[in-house]
Amino acid sequence: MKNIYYLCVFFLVIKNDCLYAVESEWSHSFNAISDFRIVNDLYETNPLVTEDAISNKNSNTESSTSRLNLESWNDKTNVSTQIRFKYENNQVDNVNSETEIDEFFGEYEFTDELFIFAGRRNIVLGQSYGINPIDVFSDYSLLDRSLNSSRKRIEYPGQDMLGFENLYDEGSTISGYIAPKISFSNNERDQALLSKSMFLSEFNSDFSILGFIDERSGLGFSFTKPQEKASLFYADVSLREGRDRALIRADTSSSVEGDFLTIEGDQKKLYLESNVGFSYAFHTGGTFNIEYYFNQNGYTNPEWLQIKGLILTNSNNVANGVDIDQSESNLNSLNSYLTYEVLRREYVFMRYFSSFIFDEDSNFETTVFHSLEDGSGSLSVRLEKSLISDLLIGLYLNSNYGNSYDEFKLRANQFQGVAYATYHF
Amino acid sequence: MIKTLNIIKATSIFSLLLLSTLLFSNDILNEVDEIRSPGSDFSFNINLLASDGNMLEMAVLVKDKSKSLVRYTKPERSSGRTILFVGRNMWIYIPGSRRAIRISPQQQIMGGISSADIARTVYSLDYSVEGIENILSEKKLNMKKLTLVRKTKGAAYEKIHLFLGDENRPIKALFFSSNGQRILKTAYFEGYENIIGKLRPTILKIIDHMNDDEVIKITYSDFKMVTTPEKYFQSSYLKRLK
Repeated sequence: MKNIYYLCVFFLVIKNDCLYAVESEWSHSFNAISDFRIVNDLYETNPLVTEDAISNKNSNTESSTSRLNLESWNDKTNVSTQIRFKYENNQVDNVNSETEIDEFFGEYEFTDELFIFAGRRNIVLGQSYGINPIDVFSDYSLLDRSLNSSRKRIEYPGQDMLGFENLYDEGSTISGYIAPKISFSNNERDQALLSKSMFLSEFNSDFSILGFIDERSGLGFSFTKPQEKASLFYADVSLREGRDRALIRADTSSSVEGDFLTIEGDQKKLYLESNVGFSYAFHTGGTFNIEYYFNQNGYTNPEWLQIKGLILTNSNNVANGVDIDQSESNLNSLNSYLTYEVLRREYVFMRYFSSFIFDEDSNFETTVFHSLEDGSGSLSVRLEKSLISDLLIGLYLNSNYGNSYDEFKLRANQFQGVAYATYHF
Repeated sequence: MIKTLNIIKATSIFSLLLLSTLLFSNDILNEVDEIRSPGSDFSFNINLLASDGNMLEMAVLVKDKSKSLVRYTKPERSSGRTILFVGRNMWIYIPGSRRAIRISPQQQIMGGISSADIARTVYSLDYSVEGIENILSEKKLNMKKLTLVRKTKGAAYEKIHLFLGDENRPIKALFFSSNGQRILKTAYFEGYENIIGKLRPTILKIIDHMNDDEVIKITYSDFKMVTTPEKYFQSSYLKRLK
């Protein structure tokens, strides 16, 4: 009820101006992207991932996705909509189609500087390319990594929210929103965010500070500073209350070797997640990024050794025919616990992007996400070429590397290849 | 005593001469800037054409000389992409991306054309005159050669040799690399037309020596004196531009 009250207040405040808006002239813009994709995923069993765990995974998928963006505006009001339609033909479900409304919100210019908005919106903060610690409400499992960097974080469902943004002449902005969990929204929990972004002209830097309410509330900071003419230094940092994952310990009281217990992490302590990056733009047209990522939530060496020991014990049990059912069940449970974007603490992300490696109409991107803990990682390559003005074809390949008990080799999906054609309307 | 006085006199005269030459040469640079940009607040359109037929069109808004807003208008897939330049700071906004992100002035737009080449319409904000020479061109015409050196860390080039013709109209420029030795690009200022009370170049032909001497032609058109609201030059506002 409280949330509905907020919405009512918002609409009452703008009611008079809305009447004016209806009378004034509206403009519209419409654009769309439509693509056809052939996806090949290679799922492999490994000491952690059993046959059972990958039995319902799709290996070959043909899909067609369309994204529609519609914007209507007049002097004071702006209405934005983004809808995605996806049609998929895969080996498991055969035909599958879905529609997602990513955004549908109205924004009203209350004064020259103050904007208020309500509806479903996708808000992104921070500069990082790898993992962005201040993109605090995003769910990485919903990101389609095979999309290029200009689409990956856009084609993502927004939150239902009510918020404002106030601009100041010196270049700073204060913004905030509340995204409550209400029955008709797609919000899974109550969330709110308040941020201040500043342009520090004397230091040629951008600095943002934000506070947010979530299951794990906290603070975030973002800093960007150009160094000379070709390079940028940036950092995105968050401090969040409570550990995001359970600790996994061997159950010494059980008669089955390999059984384990889960213990909730410390929910009072603040956990640091940070990404510090540097980018360099070459004269030849390429851009190189390197980022150091640290996540205090990640498993420490002693914690990881416990987990690795449990994986080893259970997979040996299965191989040797000892407590097979229980050990397979243990492995599947462990697999379901280890679904975090990163399992350990320290990583390096590198990206090289060149917009014209072969000719003006093509671009090339390669990324590496490398664990400093065990040397495993993920390598991807993307090639895109415009055939005609608005038609783009592309190829994306991603593969994991490392030794058999390393983090990235314990994942089910070891390779992904995507060929796609994208048309911009 | 007399000898000391003579040395002081000679030093003072030399210093005054040096100072007046520098002031004079900086006046020349200001004249060049006034030819390239018709005021502090104005707008114009740009067409970039690469030798392979690749084309980009952009609309540019300039405020207080040091702030520029470059909006891609063609091709359709790049339409709405916006680059904001405030002093030495640059941001790019890609439609739908929900946020403007920082880029560096050396970030490329097409071929060897950097974002700074497009967004920066004056030299005097980033460069100072180190030397001035009177020279004869290949066609035996009298020209001035200005050596510009960067005065801010964010300047796109370490050094520029700027060749001026009649009434200090820019004819040609050589852009040098970080060590000041290697020529990265050569630019020719062409197509002089009477625009807003002055003869101004409408074509900039750039030869990119880092990309097999690729030629990119930049055509400037539709110059207008306009005052753009201050909020347009804030990175948070870019997502609202129509």
